[in-house]
Amino acid sequence: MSICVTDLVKRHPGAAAPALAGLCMKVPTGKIASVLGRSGAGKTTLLRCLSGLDPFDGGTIDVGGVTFGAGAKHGSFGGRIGLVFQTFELFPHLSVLDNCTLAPRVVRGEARARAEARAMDLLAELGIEDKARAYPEALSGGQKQRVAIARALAMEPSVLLYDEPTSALDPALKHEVGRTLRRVSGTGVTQIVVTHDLPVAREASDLVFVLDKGRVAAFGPPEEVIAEAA
Amino acid sequence: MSKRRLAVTLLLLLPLLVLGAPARALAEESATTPATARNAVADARARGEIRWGNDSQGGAPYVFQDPMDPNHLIGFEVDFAAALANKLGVRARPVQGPWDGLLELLARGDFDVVINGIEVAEEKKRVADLSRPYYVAAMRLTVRKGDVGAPRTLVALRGRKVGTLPGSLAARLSEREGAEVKTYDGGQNDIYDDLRIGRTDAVLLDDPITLYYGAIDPALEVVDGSFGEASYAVGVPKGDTETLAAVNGAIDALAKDGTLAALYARWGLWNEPTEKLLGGPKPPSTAVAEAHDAWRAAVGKPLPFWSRVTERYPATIGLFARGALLSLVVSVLAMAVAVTLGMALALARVYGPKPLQWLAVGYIELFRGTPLLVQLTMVYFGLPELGLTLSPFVAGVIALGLNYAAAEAENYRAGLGSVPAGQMDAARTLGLSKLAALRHVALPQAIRVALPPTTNDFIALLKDSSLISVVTLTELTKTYTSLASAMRDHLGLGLVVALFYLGLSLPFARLSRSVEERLGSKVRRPASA
Repeated sequence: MSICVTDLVKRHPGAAAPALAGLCMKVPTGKIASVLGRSGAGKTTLLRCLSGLDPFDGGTIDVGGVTFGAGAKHGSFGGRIGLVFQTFELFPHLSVLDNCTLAPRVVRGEARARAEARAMDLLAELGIEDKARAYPEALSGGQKQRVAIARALAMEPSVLLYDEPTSALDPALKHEVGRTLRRVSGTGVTQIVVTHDLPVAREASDLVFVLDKGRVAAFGPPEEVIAEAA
Repeated sequence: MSKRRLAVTLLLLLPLLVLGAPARALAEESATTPATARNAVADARARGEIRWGNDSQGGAPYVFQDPMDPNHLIGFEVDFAAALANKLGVRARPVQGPWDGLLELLARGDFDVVINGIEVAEEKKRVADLSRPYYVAAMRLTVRKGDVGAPRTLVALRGRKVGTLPGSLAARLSEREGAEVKTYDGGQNDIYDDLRIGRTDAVLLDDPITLYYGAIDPALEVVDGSFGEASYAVGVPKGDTETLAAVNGAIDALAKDGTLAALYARWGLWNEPTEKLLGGPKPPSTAVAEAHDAWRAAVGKPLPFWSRVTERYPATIGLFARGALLSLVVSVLAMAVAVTLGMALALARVYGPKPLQWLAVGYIELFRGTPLLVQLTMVYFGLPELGLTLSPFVAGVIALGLNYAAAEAENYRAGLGSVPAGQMDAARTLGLSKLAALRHVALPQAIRVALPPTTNDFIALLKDSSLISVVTLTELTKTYTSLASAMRDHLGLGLVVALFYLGLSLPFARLSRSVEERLGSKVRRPASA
């Protein structure tokens, strides 16, 4: 489903300027959008507001026709918008499979067998079904990332956010990220990727947004925007 | 799922179960009526036995474990209590308590009477009523043999180090003379040991103690003459006139029919002031102090170590095992209280709203910053003033549990602190509520970090459980100190009790290590995260 952000405002207590100053962006269903920008441009704040980790002070977030205003509570997106952390934040005490079934079982009350079957499908989709019984510490960076994606997809989100998906990976693995994004995009999930990695943004995304001072300074197809920025 | 939930519920309910019926059954002694309007002797008759308080650690010849068979309490006061109970038409049941707390325990309702060399003195009458005296002890001065500078008169005690018992007439006399008084809470043996090795210059104590501990030591000399007289009386609950009258009547009868005279003669304790006090018949001229002779034969000359191991120690194993079991049960239950309460405190402190955080911090600082002994005393002796009288067992479990909850809370706080904030964030973005995130993500990781220090705390608790002897429970340490006093053997029995403590704690230490190793591989956090 599409996501539409309108006039999003977020102020951090004590800060002179708002971190997000009326930010607008729209990503159509199933598309991949990259969000670029210097440090302090508002990328992380945008992610935290979109994922429901932090409340925002003004504007709306519309996900597939459901609108959330500034009063929206922590976590009220309830799995509608997933987030793949820069450090993945896999649960180290749970196996890969249990990482992926925890939320469906606890939040939705799904039966273990069903949750596991779906998780195995997702892991297979991402090419790591052989790691289902492993614990996170036994995985490589790329594998961890794919588990983190499978874990988020298990909640069947409309939108999946990524925080710097290439930063924790070997340079040799970076092109893998683009392939993974394309695989996910095939399932109809809308994806927003916060990154400073221009090649990935250029190769993998349908749309690029460049943030500056809490607003969108430029957007469009990657070949246009990135050429301009470069 | 439901089975797991049941297990969690049971775990949370454990402290409540601890406070319930099974605990009472395990407790050797339990509290009874509050201290108002008592009629102890009527209670005793209804029960068929009179509970008399004493401290067997005090030793011979009052109440002590038979060195030849430590499973039996013997002593002239054991015989006296039996004769007294007989006159009252009940059986006598000795109940253990720390000597300087016996009258407080009586007031609390743990005993019907106290019989343990309680001297007639004004300050004691504030806590309890005292019967007519049943014995008069002369104060005797003991010094090192051949010590030319030894004090041999009361006046000569000025500025000298004098060993004696706390709160005794001997202590007051020595203080009045300006002596540097050193009092001992442990056994009488220690008092004379310190004199022998020169830590004190003299010991001023009652005749019976002098006879059984000072006089049998060839390195010591008892100075001729009496330095004062202390009368021993039975402590009865304050204001309990019925019991006082019944006990006085029984002592009168025992004096008149010659029972007391024969009893004191058997223990070698018959003396002129007691003769004057009782006014009854003298002991028969053929009387032999057989009990005193038996004591001398048993402990007068220490046996070689190996003989003690083969001849004396086997009989103590049962007592040590019983003490160890009590220590273990109290510790396990106290730990259950500490773990549950500690977890609640840690969660309140880390995730709770501000007022709850302050409460948790206040609790932790209060219980961590005050001595366990003070807390135990308040729970056991203080709460009855508010109308809550706990049995010794329950009081011990609660006091230890409340105290260790503070330590556990800090362990779990450290454990929760070790879980990166991103873990809770990740759980929240997956749609887990804060509570679900805590339960499924933060707590399991925190517990693994907190487990090794928690096991260490359990071992510390096991050792601290020795404090419950102040509330009449004969656990492992008290078993040791009593036996050591009765058998005049601190070193050898010390090794035995050390083995028992190791036997209790080593399995937990091992468990801690293996759990640490097993969890280590899964808990180690990825270096990149």
